[in-house]
Amino acid sequence: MTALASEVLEFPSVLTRAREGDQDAFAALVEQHESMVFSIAWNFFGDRARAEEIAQEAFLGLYRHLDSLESESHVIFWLRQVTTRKCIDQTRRNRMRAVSLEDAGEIKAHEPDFDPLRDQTLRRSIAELPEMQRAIVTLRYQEDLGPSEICEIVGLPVNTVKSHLHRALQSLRRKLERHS
Amino acid sequence: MTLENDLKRTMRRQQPDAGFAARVLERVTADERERAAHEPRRRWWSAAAASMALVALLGGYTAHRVQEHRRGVEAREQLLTAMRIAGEKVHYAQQEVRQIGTSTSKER
Repeated sequence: MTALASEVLEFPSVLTRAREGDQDAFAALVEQHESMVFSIAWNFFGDRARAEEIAQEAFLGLYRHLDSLESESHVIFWLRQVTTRKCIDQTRRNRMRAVSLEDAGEIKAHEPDFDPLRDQTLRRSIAELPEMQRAIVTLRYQEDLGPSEICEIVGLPVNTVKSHLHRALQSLRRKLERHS
Repeated sequence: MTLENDLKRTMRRQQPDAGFAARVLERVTADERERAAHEPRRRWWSAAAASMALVALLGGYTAHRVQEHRRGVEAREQLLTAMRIAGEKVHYAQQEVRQIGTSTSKER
C-alpha cells in the first residue's frame, strides 16, 4: 500500500470529524451540500430569503442529528428529505404559493436558446403546482432523481410518485401552451 | 426543445448568497448557547419528574401492600368465623349423639 493510500484510509472523513465536534469539518459539510439544499427550497418557493431560511434550518437539524448519520450518502438523503418536508410543511401551514420572480433568469440570460419569458412562465407554473407535485418535480429535475429514489424521500408509493409527476408535466405543458 | 430540458435548465442548482456556511455556523453556535442556558432548568425538570415518578411508584406499592394486608385480615376473620360455626355444629352433633345414647340405655 502506498503512503498516500494509507494516509487517505487513516484520515477521518469530513462527516466523522464533524461528528466529533470539529466546526471546520461541519462548515466543509455545509459548503459541500449548500447548493443542493438551497436550490430545493429556492425551486420550491422562488424566494431567496425563504430558501435561505429553510436551508439554514435544514443544516441546523443536520448538526443535531450528526450522530445518527452513517455515511456521506446518508447525509445527502437526509438533507433532501428534511428540506423537501420543510418546504411542504411550510406551504401547508401558510397555504402560500406566491413566487418572487425578481432573479429568475438572471443567471441564464446569456445562454443560447434561452427565452426569459418562457423561463418566467415555467417558474410561475411550477409555483402554481400543488406542493407534493412541486416537490416531486424539484427532486426529478433539479436533483435528477428517478421515481424510486423520490418515493423514499417523500414517503409515497412509487406509482403515486409517477402519477404525481405525470399530472405535473401535463399541467405545466398546458400552461406553457396557453402562454405561447 | 422539450419541456423536460426546460425544467432541467430552469431548476438547476444555484448557490446561496456568499457566507452561507458562516451564517449556519453562527446559528449553530447561538442554538448551542441557548440549549446550554436551558440545560440547568431542563435538568431540574428531569429530576423533578423522576422524583414524582418515584413517589407515585412508592405510593402505589404502599397502597397495594395495605390492600393485601386488609384482604389477609378479612380472610383470617372469615376463616375463624367458619371454624367457630363448624365447632358449634360439631358440639351440637356430639350433644345429640350423647342424648340418643342416654335415652337408648334408659329404655333397656
